[in-house]
Amino acid sequence: MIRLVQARCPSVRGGASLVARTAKCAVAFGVVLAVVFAGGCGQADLGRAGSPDAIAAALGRSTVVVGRPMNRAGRPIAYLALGGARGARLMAFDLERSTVLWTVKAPMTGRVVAGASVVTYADGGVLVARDGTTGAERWRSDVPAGEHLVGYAMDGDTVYFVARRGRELRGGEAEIVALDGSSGSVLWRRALGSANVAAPDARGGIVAVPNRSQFVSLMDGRTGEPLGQVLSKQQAVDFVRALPEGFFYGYGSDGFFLMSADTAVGVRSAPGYLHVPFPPFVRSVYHFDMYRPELMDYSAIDRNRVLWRAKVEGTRASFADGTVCVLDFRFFFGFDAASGTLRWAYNNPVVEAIGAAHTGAAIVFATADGDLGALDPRTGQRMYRFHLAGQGEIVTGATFDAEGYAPHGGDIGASASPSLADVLSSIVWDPDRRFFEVQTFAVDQLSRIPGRAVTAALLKMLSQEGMPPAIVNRAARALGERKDPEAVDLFVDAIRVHADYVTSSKAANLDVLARAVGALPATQAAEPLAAHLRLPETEPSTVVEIARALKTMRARETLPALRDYLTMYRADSTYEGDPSALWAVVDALAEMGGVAERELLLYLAEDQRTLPAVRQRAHHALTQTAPGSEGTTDRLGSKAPATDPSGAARAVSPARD
Amino acid sequence: MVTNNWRVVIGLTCCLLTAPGATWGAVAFDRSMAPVHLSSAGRARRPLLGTDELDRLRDVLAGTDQTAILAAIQALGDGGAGNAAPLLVEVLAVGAPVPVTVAAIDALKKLRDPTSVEVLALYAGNRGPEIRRHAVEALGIFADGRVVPVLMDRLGDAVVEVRGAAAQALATRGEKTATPRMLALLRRNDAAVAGPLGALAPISLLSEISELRGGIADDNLATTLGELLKRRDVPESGRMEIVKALSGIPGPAATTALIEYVGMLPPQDRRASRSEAQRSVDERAKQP
Repeated sequence: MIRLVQARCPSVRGGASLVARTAKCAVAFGVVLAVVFAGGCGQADLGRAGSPDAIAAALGRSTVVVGRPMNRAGRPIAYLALGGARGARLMAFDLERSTVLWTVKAPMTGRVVAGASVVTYADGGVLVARDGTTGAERWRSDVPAGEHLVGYAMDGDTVYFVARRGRELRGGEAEIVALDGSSGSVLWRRALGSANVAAPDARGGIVAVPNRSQFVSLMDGRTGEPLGQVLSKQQAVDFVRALPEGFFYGYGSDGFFLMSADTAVGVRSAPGYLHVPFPPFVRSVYHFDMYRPELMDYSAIDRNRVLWRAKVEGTRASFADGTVCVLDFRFFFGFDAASGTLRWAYNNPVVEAIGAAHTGAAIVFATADGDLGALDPRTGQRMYRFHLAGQGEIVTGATFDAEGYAPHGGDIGASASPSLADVLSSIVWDPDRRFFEVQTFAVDQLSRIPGRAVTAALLKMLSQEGMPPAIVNRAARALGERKDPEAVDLFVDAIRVHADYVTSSKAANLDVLARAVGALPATQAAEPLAAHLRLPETEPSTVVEIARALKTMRARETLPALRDYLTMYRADSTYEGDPSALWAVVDALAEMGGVAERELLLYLAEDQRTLPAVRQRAHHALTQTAPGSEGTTDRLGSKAPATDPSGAARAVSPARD
Repeated sequence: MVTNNWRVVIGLTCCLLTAPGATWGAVAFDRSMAPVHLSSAGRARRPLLGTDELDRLRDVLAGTDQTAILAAIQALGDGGAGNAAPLLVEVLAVGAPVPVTVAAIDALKKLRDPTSVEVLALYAGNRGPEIRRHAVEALGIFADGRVVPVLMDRLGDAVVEVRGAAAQALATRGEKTATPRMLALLRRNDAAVAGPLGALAPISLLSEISELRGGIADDNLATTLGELLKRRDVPESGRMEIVKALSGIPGPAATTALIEYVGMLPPQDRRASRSEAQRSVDERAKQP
């Protein structure tokens, strides 16, 4: 039975209570720092905080950690928590041999942690250990009523768990207990001096426990002897991870440190600090919050987090291969660690991944419907696929004991991977709008990829019924910025689409298309663009863009359509509130037109029936533009040289002479 | 004098309107096509307005008194003068407030002058649904084949009244090429085409139309079948089939169609389809 021990700080003579001291320490961070740097400590003797020597010595005591699975056989194994009609079960699956090793009934409230000969998990207030080879239950260890399991870890065949009694921030107590993995018997226990503690992690005979928000205490895994404490000076610490390449500590979304003498006091300028400038949609959780016992269980965090491994050189750390992977439910993204730019993407069809791990050589994952897969962390190429055959299994969580595992061959080795553009397109077109942020990100990334196919994909987004406006807007902006001359015919084809109630077709976002072809400029698009001026569904705001585009293109062949539009609506009171469309047409006519257009503008400027705002604009346009600057046209539209700048005005203003 | 200035500009604009290569309604029409002889001949037989009267009306139309303008337009349309249409075309060509536009379109419809086709086609694409509907209705009276593409486009209009006007115009013209689009609209349960499609569809489409039962409103289907039943080109076997189909459709539209069919044939007509229709009507009458 687990029993919490009343802890007292040996370093404080007179036996000041843990509770009282902890409360004082919590008053203010400055006070904590003052105590720490003055050589003080928490109430339990967990070692001096922020001492590089102590940390170096502690880490120096670590045994060599080999990059292989924790289980004694060294097999890459996925432990899958199964649900569904057949009840809660635990399955062990050999990834390399694609075989189910065993399946047992196993209600779980906490994730599986793998050791050398056993695996452990929580079942309510009980830690359960099962034989790694057979799945048979080896032992159970109860947590007494009133005490709460904070978290647990394994190193070899030792189980470490942290339990808490009372309030976390005031008056509570906590301890760490080491159990023999083979029998469940207590090897040692130690008070942690604060109830503000997190779950442990362990490697190489060292166990680490985050505590008091900014500390990580290191203890000897065999004896519980305190070895040292790191202090994160500039950010909180809510996790510690023990990996073959070292201990890492940090805060879920703020970045993290390689634990070393250089980061005994963790500051972001340290060479062991790791952080990725992710795009906004990424939930940059580098590890789950180990202060929260509920996150011991499989949760949404397992489905939406950063998957990373580090390359360590002395006290320096960098992300392995310069890449980090982000799992966002159904989507995996590989980002350049330094710049945060996208390197690859993978879209898992239909079903989301409920858990994933970076083995150092592969991203392994399991989906809710029983698919097991692996991706190359450098390219995103799928390396492995296996489906738990036909039993309708529902996978609720997964733990991978597969350090260093990379699949070879597999059932998809020969198939070509889709291009990044294809994957991003598939994400955008995914009908599941829960992933809206991912989809907008995909559009943005897609727009950065050159080529006609991408332009076609972006154009398709413009006209798709039900596409969220934000995605359409992004596609629109991208099209405007691409200036892809090889895709002019695609623009023209898109522009030629008119609304038709019979076929349910809609004109694509013409304002966008107009801007895009105007920016190129693509004169082939002028006539089809101008045709929309004669269609009832063409919004005035779109007319503004069309007129501007035609003006930019100097598309004089479209002058008749512009004239038609202006005359038809110049006295239409519906344009009174917003005459911008008519203004744009006036400007285009004045800019491109010849004698006939200037005559028309003069007439409209003088006619009382013309909307006042349009009259004013026409008058202004006439005074601002030199007649015949483009070469004048006679009344029938044929071109004539501009010989007399005032000729046009005189021709229509005999009464003034 | 401002009025003179307007005359000049109106003249210029009308030149633009009628000049080769100009593009009033260029989307739908090709100016190189032959003139519409039928209406031209009709126009030639009409009385003409004198020059003074033309000038007076032109001044009124170019003014700002909307009441006077509307009265002048009404007079031009009702008068039926052979040279009235160009004045109204001018009104539309240079643009006018919505009420004036609608009145001018209606007046042109009365005059049936083929020179108005192009400007009417332009206004069939106006943003105002009311203007579009009037323009489509006006275009519908012209036998000119150039009208068809415009009407086909408006059959796909977003506004049901405009679609209905286009469908009616196409049906009146007997424009068989419109059948597939109308059938597509009926499949979408568009009431606007129910009647016109029945007036237009070949009898070979009867089974295809009947199969829409359950997929569209009963009244729409009954209206289509009822119109089909009224046609003289439908053989007795087809009529019998239609009557049976209508007999199976509940609702007032089917009853009306059957009653109308019985009523359109003389009492002494003994054809089986009439008897069957009568029997069906009698049965319906017995139902509570």
